[in-house]
Parts: sequence; structure tokens; C-alpha cells
Amino acid sequence: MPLLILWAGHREREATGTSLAAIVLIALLGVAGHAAYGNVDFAKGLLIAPPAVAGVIAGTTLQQRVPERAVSAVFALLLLASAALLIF
Amino acid sequence: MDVAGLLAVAFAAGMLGGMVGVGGGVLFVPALVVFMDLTQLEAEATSLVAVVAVGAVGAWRQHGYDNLRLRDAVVVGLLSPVGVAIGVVAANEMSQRTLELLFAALSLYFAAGLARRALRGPEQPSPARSPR
Repeated sequence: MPLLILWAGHREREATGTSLAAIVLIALLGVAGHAAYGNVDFAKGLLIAPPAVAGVIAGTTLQQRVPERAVSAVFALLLLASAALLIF
Repeated sequence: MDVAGLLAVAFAAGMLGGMVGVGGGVLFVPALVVFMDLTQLEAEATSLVAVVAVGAVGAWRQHGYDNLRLRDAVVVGLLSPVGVAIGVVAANEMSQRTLELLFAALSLYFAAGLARRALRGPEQPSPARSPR
């Protein structure tokens, strides 16, 4: 995202879609690499995919309608909690 | 194992992915560790399966809003294999604790970016606005 905005001159929302498309290729390579080490639990990965896709559809729809700042604040707090969980 | 908790966080991670343009892994991974008892390494590897789905659907949805430049995405994707290979090997070589701390640092980085979005000036107008 920051790379696309700074180097490729994308607007922020434009970088959102472009970043997601690049992530598909990068994640596919990552899955292949980690699968070679036997680290991928495909059943659990496929279990979280449907609700995640539902979340994406909700997120992209809401992005156009709800205050982005409020949503960003909620997710920032969620990630702070997640980091604290890992550190302690 | 807590499937309901996992599915709820997966939905939230998808929302984050769709709105912010990330794959959601930053939330999938802790959810897989906490709710499915996977190790940090297994969770990071497994999360990528869902990240593929989030990226594909998110890009398709953003394309509908004219927020996708496919050519630039392919360029970034084609530049990534060496970095991905180094990342996969490094993740398998380092200790679980190091991996956890690196992931925590990544989460804090994302949190800071989101906090900046939350705290900055007035709302951005709709995507139909004129380019900056």
C-alpha cells in the first residue's frame, strides 16, 4: 500500500484494490513455499476463508459509506490487543 | 478449539482487508493461534490460504469501485518471489519466540498506521473526487 501510493502515485483507495490483487500472487507463493515445509493446515485455512470473504464484501461496501476514521480506530485497538497477547 | 471465535475474527479480518487493502493475516494469525492451538509458524502459513481468498475477492470488489490497477499489481506480484522464498526459509529457521515478537512488531506497525488514519483531519470525500 504505502509503496503503491509513494512510488506508483496511486490514490489511497486506488492502492487498496491494487494492493489486494498483488497480495493474491504473493500469498499463493507463500502457501506453496510453506506447504513444502508441511506448515499449512489447509482444512483450517479453508474454514476461515468463507467468513473472511463475507467480511471483505461487507468491508468494501462499508468503506464507501461509513466514517473510515472510526473503523480505523477500532482495528488499531484490536491490533494493539493482539500484539500485547503475543508479547506477554 | 473455539470455532465461533475463529469465524468471528475471520469476518473482522476480511473487513479490515477489504477496507484497508491488506490480506487480513494480521488478524487471522492470532485467531488461529488462540482458537485453533496452532503454532505461530503454522498459523502464519495457514492464514495465507484465506489471504488468497480475501485478496481475490477484495480486488474484484475494489475493481467495481475503479480502485484497481491490475498492471501495477502484476508487477508487484512478479517482483515478490525472491522475497517470499527468503521469508519462508527464515520463518522456518528462527525460533517460535522470535517469530512471535516479529509478528507483534508488525501488528504494532499496522496499529500505528490505522491510528494515524483515525486521528488525521476531516473525512476524505468519495472515490469520485478529483485526483490529488
